[in-house]
Amino acid sequence: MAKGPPHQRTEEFEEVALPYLDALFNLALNLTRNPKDAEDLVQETYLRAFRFFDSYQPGTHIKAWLFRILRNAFTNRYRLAKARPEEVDFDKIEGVYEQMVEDDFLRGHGSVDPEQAVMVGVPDEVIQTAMVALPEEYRAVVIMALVEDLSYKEIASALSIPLGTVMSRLHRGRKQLQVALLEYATRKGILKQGPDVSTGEAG
Amino acid sequence: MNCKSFRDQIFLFQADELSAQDREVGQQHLDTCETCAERLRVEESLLRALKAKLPRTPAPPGLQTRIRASLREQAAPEVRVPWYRTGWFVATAAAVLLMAMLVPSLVVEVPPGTDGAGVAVREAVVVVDLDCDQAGYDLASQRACTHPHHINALKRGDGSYWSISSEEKDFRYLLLDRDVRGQQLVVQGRLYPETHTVHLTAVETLDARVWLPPSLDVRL
Repeated sequence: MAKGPPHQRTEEFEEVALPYLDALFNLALNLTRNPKDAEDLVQETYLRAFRFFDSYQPGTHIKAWLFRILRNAFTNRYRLAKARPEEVDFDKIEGVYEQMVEDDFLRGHGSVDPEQAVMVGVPDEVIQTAMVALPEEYRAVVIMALVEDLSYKEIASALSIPLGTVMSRLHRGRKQLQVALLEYATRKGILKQGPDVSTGEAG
Repeated sequence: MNCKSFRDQIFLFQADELSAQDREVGQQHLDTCETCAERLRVEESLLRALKAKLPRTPAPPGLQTRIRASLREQAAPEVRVPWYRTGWFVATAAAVLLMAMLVPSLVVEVPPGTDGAGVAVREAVVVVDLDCDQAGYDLASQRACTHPHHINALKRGDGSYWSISSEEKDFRYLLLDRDVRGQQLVVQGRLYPETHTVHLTAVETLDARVWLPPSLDVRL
């Protein structure tokens, strides 16, 4: 980055970094689950990013770079404080998911469009509850991939994890969330009850 | 390709994360398998629903203004900081450091171990292998360079270099380690302009770690 007078560098930084304010806040909120903490985290992210702006490589995806900083700041702040959420049995979820998709949509009940059913019949709180049930590192991947449209590679670099880990977290997270949506829709009678879709605590 | 292997990678197919070749093979299977084509339609529909339901909470009004204000505060010219040169301030700095976990800024200042010559600096830099970098090698090659006489330097935003000097052995690795080449840091210390050498007093990394002299005995 070219050096200039401080105010000029500040403006340059704001111009490239502030458009991602909403995206950063959304991620922060999903990680901290608390609006005040999320605000603090976002503010810290910007200050930290600004300090490193001199060494920011202009070719790098700035959104992924900012996410990386936010994620690191989050880990740094909360790793000691937060107890891990209960372990999720993903093997079970995978089986449940397969069976639900099979029973609800592929085996003769094909008249219902899943998107339609979810959009009409499932309130937003259901997905929020399901997100909270996901481990924090899964939530980060889900938001980055499905809300922010980062590629797997960009996520891997932002979180400093291998590509394979991005995949497994995203795919498992996605299945668990979709199970929650489908379960709710089934409970409310929007989808027909297939045989044996009880799953315990996923939703 | 059979149905099982198609389904194993159906999410990758949807996300367009398959290699061109694998994607082609998957597409061929889809063209001939109505079951998998139907399964893909269902997955696409579910994915659209999930994306639509995932939370998108915008930043609250006022946050942007606060961030702009704090950036301007931080961008203000570096203050010459005589107050922290008294050694007793270290104890306070250690206490502040613990609280810094809860406060947006995590800058840690410790007294330089010199007699006060030089100029106080704080700047974002990248660690490089000085010889390799000047010869034009990229950072990956620099990390791979095992030349015993090569030492690290700090590359500034304008492309110039600072040599590293520190009495603290905790910073020694910055000078010698191959793995730290390419790392972005904010360094703080005193610069001796005639030798382009910076005497380090604190180092902050992008992933929020701070190295401090061991005498402070602060664990982060």
